[in-house]
Amino acid sequence: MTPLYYSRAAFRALAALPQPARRSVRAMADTLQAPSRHLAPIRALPGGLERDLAQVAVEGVGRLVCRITQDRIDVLAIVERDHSLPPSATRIALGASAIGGAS
Amino acid sequence: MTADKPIQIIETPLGDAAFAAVPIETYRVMVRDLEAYRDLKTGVSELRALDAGEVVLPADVAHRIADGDNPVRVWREHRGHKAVALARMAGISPAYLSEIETGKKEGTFRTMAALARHLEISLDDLAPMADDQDADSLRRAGREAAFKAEIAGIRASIASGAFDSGAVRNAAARLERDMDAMVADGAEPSWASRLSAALTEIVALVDQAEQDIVETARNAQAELEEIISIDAFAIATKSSGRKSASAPTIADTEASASAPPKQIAGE
Repeated sequence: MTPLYYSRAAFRALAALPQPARRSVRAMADTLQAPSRHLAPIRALPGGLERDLAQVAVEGVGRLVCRITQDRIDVLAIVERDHSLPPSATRIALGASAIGGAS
Repeated sequence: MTADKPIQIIETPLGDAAFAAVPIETYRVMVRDLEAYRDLKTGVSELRALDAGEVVLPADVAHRIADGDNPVRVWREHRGHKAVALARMAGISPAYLSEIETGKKEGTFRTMAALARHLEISLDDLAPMADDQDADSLRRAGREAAFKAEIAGIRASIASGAFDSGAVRNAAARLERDMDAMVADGAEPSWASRLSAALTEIVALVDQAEQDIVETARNAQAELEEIISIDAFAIATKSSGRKSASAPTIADTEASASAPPKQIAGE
């Protein structure tokens, strides 16, 4: 098991999450600590490689910003949003001819 | 961008670009890259805080406290202390510690500080999770306390023998800024307008005092100039200036020999 720590900011965000979301984060933290952590949806942050910074997607919650090294994992922040359209984006149904038909 | 995945610009009737429509894959890549950029900034900033010595919470501690367990109990168990031992170290009874851990009592500031010290954590780590409203009222209370301290400082500075007009003026400016921040934060206590008027008055008094000092100095200088412009002083200055500048001439020697001695102020 790799030891995992939360920064103060990440801890506050964790404590503010509703119970189901907190459970999801906790489950992801357990996955990251386990030897099978390669199964976790980890994505190295471009520009953050030298600092071992990565994003870890948590289904239904958002993502964790982490520093992941061989010896330890630091959850630096919990960002509550998913890789999808922002909720404020308006969806408009258009016919196929309305797209790409400018010329 | 390929020809089959164009960006479409939607213009207003006046021809100004109003919207850009991009294919959904492009949009998702843009959102992902933006999030990655923001996460990188957040991550680097948090790492700096950790490098500066900010404490991190082990996962088991964080999970238990976030789930509502009492922070004192969680940290005590994490550190491997028995309740009796921690109570003894903090100078309180085991019964009192038990009441704190079960939430029956809050614990005085001194007790919580002692517990935090022996648990090797900061007092913040033992604070119950404050909701946003609590955090706001705590921040406002902190600002009010800072106001009072600043006002006390101004009073002390004015009352002391070593009155420092610059310090008073700076303190007044700081108070004004703090007050603006408090109003921007949504709070405007009843005494705010009176304090603002009082600060204006204090700064005016400081300005007046400085003006008086300048006036006094000018008067003193004028008086000094008048003193040194009297004949006796002028002659003494001239004669001493010549002596030091060059050797006396015969005419000088004769003139000084024939002139009656004059009393010069101070001699």
